[in-house]
Amino acid sequence: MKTNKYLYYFVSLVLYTLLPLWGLGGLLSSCSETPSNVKNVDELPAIYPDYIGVTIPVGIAPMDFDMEGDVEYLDVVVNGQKGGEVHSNGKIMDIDVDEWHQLVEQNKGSELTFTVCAKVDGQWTQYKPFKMYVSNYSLDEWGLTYRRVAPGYEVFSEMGLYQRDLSNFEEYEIISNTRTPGMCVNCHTSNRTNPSNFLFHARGENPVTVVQKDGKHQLLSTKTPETIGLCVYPYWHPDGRYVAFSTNTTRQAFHIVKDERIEVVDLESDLQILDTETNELILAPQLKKADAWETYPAFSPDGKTLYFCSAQPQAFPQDYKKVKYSLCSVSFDAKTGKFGEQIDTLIKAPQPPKGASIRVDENEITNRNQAPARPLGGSGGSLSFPKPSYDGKYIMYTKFDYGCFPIWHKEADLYLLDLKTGESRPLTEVNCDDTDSYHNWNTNSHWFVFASRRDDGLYTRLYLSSIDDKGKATKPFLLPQKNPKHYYERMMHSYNVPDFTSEKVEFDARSAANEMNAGKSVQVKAK
Amino acid sequence: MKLINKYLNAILTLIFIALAYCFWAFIHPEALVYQEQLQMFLFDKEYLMERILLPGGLARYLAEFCGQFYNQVFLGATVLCLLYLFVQQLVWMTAKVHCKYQRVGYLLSFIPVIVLWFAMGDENIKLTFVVALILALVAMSAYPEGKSKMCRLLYLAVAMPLLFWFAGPTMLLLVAYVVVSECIKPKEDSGRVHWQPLLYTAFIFALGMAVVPCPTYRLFYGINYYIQINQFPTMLYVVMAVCLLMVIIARYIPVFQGERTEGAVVGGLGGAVLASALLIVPLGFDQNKYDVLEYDHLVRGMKWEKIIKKAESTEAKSPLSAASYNLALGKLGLMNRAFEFRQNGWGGAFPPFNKNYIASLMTSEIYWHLGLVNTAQRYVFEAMETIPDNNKSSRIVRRLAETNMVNGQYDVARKYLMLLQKTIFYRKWATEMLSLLGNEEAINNHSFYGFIRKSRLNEDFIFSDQEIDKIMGQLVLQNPDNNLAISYLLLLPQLEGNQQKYMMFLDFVQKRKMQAAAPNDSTFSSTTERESIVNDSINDSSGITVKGALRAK
Repeated sequence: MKTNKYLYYFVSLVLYTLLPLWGLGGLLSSCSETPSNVKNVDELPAIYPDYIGVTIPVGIAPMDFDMEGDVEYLDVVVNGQKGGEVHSNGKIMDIDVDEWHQLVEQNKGSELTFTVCAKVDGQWTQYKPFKMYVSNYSLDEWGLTYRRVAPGYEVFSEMGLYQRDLSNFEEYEIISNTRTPGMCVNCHTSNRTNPSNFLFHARGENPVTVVQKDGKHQLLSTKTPETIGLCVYPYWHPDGRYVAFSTNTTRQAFHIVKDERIEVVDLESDLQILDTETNELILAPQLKKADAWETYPAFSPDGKTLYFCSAQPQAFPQDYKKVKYSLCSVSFDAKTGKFGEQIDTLIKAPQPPKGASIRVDENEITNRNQAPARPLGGSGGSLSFPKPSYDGKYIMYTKFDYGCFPIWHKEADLYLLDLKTGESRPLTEVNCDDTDSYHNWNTNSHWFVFASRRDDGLYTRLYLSSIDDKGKATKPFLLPQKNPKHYYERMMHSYNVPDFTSEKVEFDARSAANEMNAGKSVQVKAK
Repeated sequence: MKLINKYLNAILTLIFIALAYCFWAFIHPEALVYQEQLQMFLFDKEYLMERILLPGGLARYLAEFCGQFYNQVFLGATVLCLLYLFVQQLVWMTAKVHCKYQRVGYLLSFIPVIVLWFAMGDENIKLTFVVALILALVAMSAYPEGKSKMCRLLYLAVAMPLLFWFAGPTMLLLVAYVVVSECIKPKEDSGRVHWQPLLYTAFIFALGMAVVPCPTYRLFYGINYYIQINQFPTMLYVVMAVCLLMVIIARYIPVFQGERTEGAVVGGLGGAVLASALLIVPLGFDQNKYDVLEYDHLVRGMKWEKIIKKAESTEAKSPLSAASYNLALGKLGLMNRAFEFRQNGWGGAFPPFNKNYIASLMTSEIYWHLGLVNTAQRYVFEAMETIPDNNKSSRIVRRLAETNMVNGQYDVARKYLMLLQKTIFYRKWATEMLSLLGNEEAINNHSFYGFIRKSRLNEDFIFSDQEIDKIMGQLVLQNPDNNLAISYLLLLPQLEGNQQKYMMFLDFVQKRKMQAAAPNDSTFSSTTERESIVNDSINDSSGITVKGALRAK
């Protein structure tokens, strides 16, 4: 039958010409056009991301940007103060990676000038040039690790742990839950950015903590009769044997007013140490107090001190806005695996007397122990995510009004505690009106990465900033992407728990996922 | 008669297609609408690339392209009928090569598509399977059966991996067809190709297991054939088996002698095919499920009168149906008729949260119309996250754009609207909404969004679905014109059979209305007094206690 023959040809034509047509579309979109009849304006170009005046490291991926509005063509010339030039011309900015690296390397410690010319409604307009600074501080890490997940509530669909090469735009999966349907993977943490020791959690029917050391992974079941629950927030001891964890009974509640969404609350929490050589949990009564919620552990760079956050328990929901976490510390001896008896309070959040309403006293300085505790500055509040810099100079933390989880608090900001002077200050150079949190340092402690909701108020994006010897930070820049406006507009995930990784993470996701799906794990024991 | 005889195949095809069209467009349009909201087809390269990277990706892409037309039922039914036509014609194209009695063979070619139609009564079956089946049938029909062994082997070496990657495990249909047809070939034909396709299959699946980031079983289930990704889609394999069976059976149909015998066979078989379509296909559709989907379709379109008509004509069995007609009654100010219909306690007014797509979505509609924007937003976001194949939903992204716009969170609303601008059927609406962003006056004066804004609660507390009556009271305090909240406030004590509470709430509503009409009147001596009426068991300043407020993280 002729009809069938034609039908067959039609179906084949539709199906098998689609891909080449898309390819052709891609080629056509990369056409170029030279600026002519250019009109000069004395204003800076409205670019996304806002890279004007940011400081970048040598080796970073091309800082591609888009112009706001309907731009037909974009012509960008980048000149280095110490020489060199790169040029991009097309519908989007697209700089060759190698040329860019060469230019940035050549201008280390100097500046780059961007001259932007855009064609809108048939008219070319040249904007006032802007500068980008190339830092003297190196960022030697290969890339970043992070989780990508929808900023949802209780249910989650596709999510995963990923790594990103900072020198280009390549992203690689570490593990995603497409391999382990129904499971949540989170809290990827390496030891001082070194991926030879790392761990992450997989939650689902068979919750496990996956610990990989020197290329071999094992799945640990971390709930024991002696502990509250599973191991939660981790931090590696620098010698690579121990990992400090909090263990929390965590719940979520949902706000009714427009500017607030979710409240993550702990109903109890303690600290514990996992010995990865014996798979035993080291418990200490001073970190399992009934009248304190301890969480967010972090070792000092020498491994002799464990920093953590602690709050006085409050009833939910009537007093949940009174939950304020202080920054505390306790000594730790890695040789014996034992904690000191004394808990020091480094920064004290105002704590209400039990049963009384909150009393915020800005000048209150009280200490439980020897060292005088400093009050949490600003408008009081609560403290979380203490992250000591690896050079031992600072602790960066997040401060917000109340509670234990700053991610859903728009007022959450980054703060820097100078361990030498004891002074603590908001990082006004990087903070914004929306949530800034989930920070981590690189190994030379001159760069940090953090997650911010500044772009659209919901989807967290990663920003990087440099910090100089005096502790002053530079204007942060959004993690570069090719065609960034389109990329971030399309992205339905938030980035969280970012960290640097000195090398690409090597992990056998397939075999680990098979083990997770099969429910295999090793039970840890409390010591 | 001769003319009818000449065009009998075409006439039968037209009748079949017309039946299928009427079925989808008029009897179960909600099935199409349901499928449409489980995807968000975007016209950009990334959307194609995200799909093409997995086996079956091209089939998924094409299916989702077609699926967007389900937004308009008549277009959607047309597209689906065209796909049915492709399936039937391709089965026939493959079968007719060896079919001696073509008239009967043609009739048999309808059986696979009838089984497919029946199978699609399971709302979890995605259009991806239909497209994948078509791709496999194309590959089957193009199999160079009469050519040399080398030619056939080369064809399989190219077609099988391509088919696996473009269509997924429907490749097994091609393999089964090749193996069976090679095995039943006359012995004198040299150079059989029967074990080689099996070897290729093992190799292709082994390679798939190594490179595809998902559990092995999903390669066999089809990554996007079935919404419930962890369940084996038995009916899909049945459909493939029937396709193969019909193609093979067609070879063995004897030629009937005599015009009368032929007429009887063809007429009888033709009648049986059409009758089976009419009688068997509806059995594949679980009426209770489709009732819920129809209610959801009507709620989405705010067809309140139609909802009540449906409730009047058929007794609803699901709490979700009760939730729908209670909402419709509230919207029409007819909540006094609530007990004319089957009720299901509080769960029939506000279904409790569970990780189910349609339940979350329908419940979010109730909160949205009440002005509980954050709660509506939560439920709708959760609904999108419950889609097991990780798709996004145009309907939900549209609602998220609305909730964020009403809440004044314009940047994130813009993000959603920009995505919807890349669709066919939401583009126009998204463009209109983009012009509203940031325009406070326009939103406040908008007939619907303005009302929702006015109804939102301004004082924060933690939501608890176990104390929803108190929240209704808060809504009435906030906006005495929120008649829907008043309806629910008065319905809830009746649902629990608490007459005293009902009288107390009625008194509160009357006083609140009077106070709103004459703000200086001292009906309530103080704010505390009016709040205490609804918050008779206050635990905190908002009156919401801990019960039901905490959810697992």
